[in-house]
Amino acid sequence: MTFTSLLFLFLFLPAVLLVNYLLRSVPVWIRQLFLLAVSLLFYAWGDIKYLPVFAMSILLNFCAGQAAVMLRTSGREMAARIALAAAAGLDIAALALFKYSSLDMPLGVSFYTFSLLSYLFDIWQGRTENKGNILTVSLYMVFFPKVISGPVIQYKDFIGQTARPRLTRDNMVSGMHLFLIGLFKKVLLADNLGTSFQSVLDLGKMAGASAWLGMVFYSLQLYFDFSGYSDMAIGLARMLGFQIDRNFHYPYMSKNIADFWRRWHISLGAWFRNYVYIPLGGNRCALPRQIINLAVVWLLTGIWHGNTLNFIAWGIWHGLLVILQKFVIKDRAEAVPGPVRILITDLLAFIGWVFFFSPNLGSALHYFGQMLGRDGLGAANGATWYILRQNILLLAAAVIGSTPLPANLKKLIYKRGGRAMSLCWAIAGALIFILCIANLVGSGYQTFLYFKF
Amino acid sequence: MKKINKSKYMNKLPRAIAWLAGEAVCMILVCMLIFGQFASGRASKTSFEDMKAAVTGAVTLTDTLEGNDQMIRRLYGLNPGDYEGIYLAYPKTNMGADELLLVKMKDSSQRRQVEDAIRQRNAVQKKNFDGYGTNQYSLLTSAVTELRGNYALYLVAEDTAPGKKAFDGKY
Repeated sequence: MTFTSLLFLFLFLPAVLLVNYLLRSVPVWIRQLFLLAVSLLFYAWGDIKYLPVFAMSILLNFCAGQAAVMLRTSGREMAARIALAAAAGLDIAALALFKYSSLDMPLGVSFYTFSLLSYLFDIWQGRTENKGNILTVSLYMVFFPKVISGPVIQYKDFIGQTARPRLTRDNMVSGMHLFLIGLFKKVLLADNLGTSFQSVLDLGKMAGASAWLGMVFYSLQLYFDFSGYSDMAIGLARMLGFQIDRNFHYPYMSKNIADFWRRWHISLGAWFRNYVYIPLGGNRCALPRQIINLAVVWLLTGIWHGNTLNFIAWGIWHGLLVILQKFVIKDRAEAVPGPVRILITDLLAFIGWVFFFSPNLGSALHYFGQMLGRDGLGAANGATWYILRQNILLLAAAVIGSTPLPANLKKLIYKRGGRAMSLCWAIAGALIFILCIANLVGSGYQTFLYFKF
Repeated sequence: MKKINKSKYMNKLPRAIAWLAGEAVCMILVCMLIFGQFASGRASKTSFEDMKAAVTGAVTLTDTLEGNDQMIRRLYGLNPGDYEGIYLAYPKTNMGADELLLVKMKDSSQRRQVEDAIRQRNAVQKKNFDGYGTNQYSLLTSAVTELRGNYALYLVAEDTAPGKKAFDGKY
């Protein structure tokens, strides 16, 4: 069951929202228990085989967290550190085992492992006073809007909300709106861009421009797929009374690579910053050490995404770009016009995505060769123009959709149109929903790209 | 010198030890569960082409056609592009029940979808033959459905044993 499955949209979600609403006046622990139960059901539906491992890991980390805090309070600092390190070590070892052995991976293992570690580190470092109880900590780990593919919510940002989820009309409406936007991005944009990308790959041998077109299709597909999923997750959480920060903020409008990483998968960047970069010393140390810290973060980011050399190459690529930006280029590029800087940043990011979609490093290098015309079919040929013609509207919609233009236009129309616009948007929303459902029914099942992490 | 109220802190020690014991038990259980998965759930490194060759070479299907992407979507609702490999042999006519679906999944998140698709296809076919196609119905009842690691096999045939054996051997 995924957010775009009919079972989820027409049965699971309405039932959960209704019961959650009906439980608004009961003691909060009952609502927490209900959300925990449906979250476990959601996870089990996708991967019941690994549910015991997940549940036991939650229990393990909870015990470790409680033990560490109490041992420290009792003056036994070393024992506390050992308790914490043992749990964290097992979490990381399990993640490495699942990612790099022949064992098939539990659903969302990369994301829920980060939640487990966030809990341990936040209560150890005192980033929150709230140690939680088994119910609230479990709910944090398993919360169904984010358990499988994020956003990577930090413990300190979630735990306080479990005591007082805000079920308001505004949250319900804005949550539904965000969910619908995410559904639109995933079903109507990402899935169709995926088909376009596949049509380029199906060429086998291709002209240079076809390969470039494929790279653009994939880059846009990945953005709409992942940001669409994030929007749906954040929208769902909001409908249930929980606030999650945005995970994407128009990354293809970035003016440099550092800016790109403040806009792309924001929650993952924040996790690595708070739990790896800053504990290593961050930028409060000598220059060589700062560079090493950044290199470690980017190597780990690449490894987190995948167990093959192409992902490590992707991490190294972005690490080098960030280091160059931070220590060499700095603000020298300010003189370059903004649109040019945006295009250059996009180009650098898109090149990185070639490592992402390639099954291995060799394939990625082969694809780069095709982008430079190594297949001997010239810069562009009939196939290039055919694919471009077939997808020009989709491409235009995707490019516009990746900018703030639609959101700004909507704000402007609301401002000018007043209350009457609310009804128009409601009708438009319903039409978009119907269109998405028709597309879902017609096209079969398309998985979310980030599920494989 | 300020007296430290040791009793206040020492009271937490027994509880801390209890939590430590819980942590230790959970660690053992997690390790056992993961080890158990290793024994039963490892993903196969066999290439899809090798697996397909082994299974199709071993099994005898009557009056079937190789399914294209459109047919796979129609009969199973699965998008071939989402999988590492997918092969379908489906009945040539409405009177046939012999069928073979072999899927190599990219990750465990696809498992449930494939399992549901196979179950639904089997149910639809049974409904089609219920009441008049006793032989076909019997074949469908004894169909082999194997979901292991990153592979799925669905086989409807007079003799499914060779196909299953080939699948097990190649896995």
